[in-house]
Amino acid sequence: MLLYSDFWLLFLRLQIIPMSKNSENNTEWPLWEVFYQPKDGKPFEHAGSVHAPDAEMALQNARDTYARRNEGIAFWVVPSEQITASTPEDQGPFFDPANDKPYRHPQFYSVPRAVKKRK
Amino acid sequence: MLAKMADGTPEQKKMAQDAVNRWWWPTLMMFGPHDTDSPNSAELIKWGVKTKTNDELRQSYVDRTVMEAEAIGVELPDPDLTYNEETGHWDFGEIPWDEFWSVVKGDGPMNRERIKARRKAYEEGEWVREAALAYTRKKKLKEEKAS
Amino acid sequence: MSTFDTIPQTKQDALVEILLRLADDRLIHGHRLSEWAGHGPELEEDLALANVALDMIGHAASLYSYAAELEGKKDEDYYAYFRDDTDFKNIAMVELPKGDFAFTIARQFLFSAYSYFLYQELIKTVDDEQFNGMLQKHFKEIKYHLRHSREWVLRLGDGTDESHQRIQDAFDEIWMYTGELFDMDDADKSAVEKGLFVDVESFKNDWKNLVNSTLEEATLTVPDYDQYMYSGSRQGRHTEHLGHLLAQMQFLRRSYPDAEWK
Repeated sequence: MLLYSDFWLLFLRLQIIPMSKNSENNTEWPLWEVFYQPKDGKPFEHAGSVHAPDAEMALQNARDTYARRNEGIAFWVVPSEQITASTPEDQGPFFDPANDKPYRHPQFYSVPRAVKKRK
Repeated sequence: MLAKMADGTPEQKKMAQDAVNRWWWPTLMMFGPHDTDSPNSAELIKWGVKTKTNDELRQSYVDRTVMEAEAIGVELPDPDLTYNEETGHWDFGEIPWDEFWSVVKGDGPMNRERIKARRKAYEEGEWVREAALAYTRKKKLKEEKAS
Repeated sequence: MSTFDTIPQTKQDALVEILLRLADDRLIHGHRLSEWAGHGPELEEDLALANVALDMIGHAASLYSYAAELEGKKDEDYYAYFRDDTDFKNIAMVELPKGDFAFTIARQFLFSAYSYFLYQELIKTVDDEQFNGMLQKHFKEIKYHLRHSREWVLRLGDGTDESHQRIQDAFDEIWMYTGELFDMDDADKSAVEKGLFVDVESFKNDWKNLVNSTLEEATLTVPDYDQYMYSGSRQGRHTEHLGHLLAQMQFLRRSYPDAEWK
């Protein structure tokens, strides 16, 4: 069932998207990113996006689109425009490991003997 | 379901066979154009988006389906379908690509009907989408006034 | 068992009667909702309505299956496809044409609210284990149907002038079909005595309160509860719409009655 509805969604989306560009007064609903927690305690994963006029409908649409048969799944919905993403240019300075900066690593610092004894 | 019908009443058998006749070639077309006509394939394989080429996938599909069709008792509408001892694969006939390209370009009658129906639904649904947005706006204003 | 005013004698007869009433409501309502596929006002709403339709038809299928078991019919298809409109026990509200989006939402809201309170009571009362188990399973989805339709009543009622007018018209039009939700005939009463149904008066006020508060919040006017109300559907006296619906729904299955489909 999930596979079929994925295909159906894609099919409908492909047909509807060209049309939204033609509408003058924009009644297109804002886009929301959907994150879901597959099981209690597990990290939230990005599931995809939905259009919705507000948060309550975004939650409902998320459930219909991404979790129809699975109960006990938790959802987060966030307006897509609220998400700030890093750019590919940021990658160097943001994500380079600090191997040449030894003072960044906890092992650099030695615990004074007196503190060790207390433990 | 197809298996059930192919094993059923004469009318069901006919329905099942008609469906296979209608959908066999379009199904093969769904794997995409021949590798030689597929300009993006090399790039997609390089990046790992595709792991097999269109023709490779199509061939393995044909090989598998010939056996399944035989098992459930429907005929595949391709007189050129023959087993190739050398390659170990089933050779099949030339795909009627004209139909594929006109569907992709949006020229089929069902295309026109579908697009018309989607446009109509979209236009007729405008008041609904508008209402939902109006409600959200009003709610926001109320919340701002209250704070 | 014939449809017209026969009181079920045995507990099993009563159980089958209730199962079929619930199932017919859901099958017909589900069918009307499924007519939106591909025609929804937005992709996500298309999916939402299809999901509700699927839920309802699924509920109908399990209720029919149990009835089939009890009556020695082959399977649920018998009830869905081989009965004529005079044998169907659904209320008239669910067989009305789908109308515009406002009409569909108004109907879904009124029916889901009713189902919500009905199931809540049934789960406490019904002493048939298999039936009760089904009710508990279905209840989770009914809560969702109510939530979905209620949120839309608010948005349409308190949206634009156009949406407000449309949903007000919808409630005005459908109102005379709400009486049937709370009609209790002798068959119902017999089922209550046998521990298989509940007195719907017990939750009528809860339903009214929810309807009133929702419509009020949506800036809508609640129609008159004491106006003329349609009746007779449960006993097989349907509107003209059911005949057309069944013709479309049953045609293929009836053309090849001996064929197996699954």
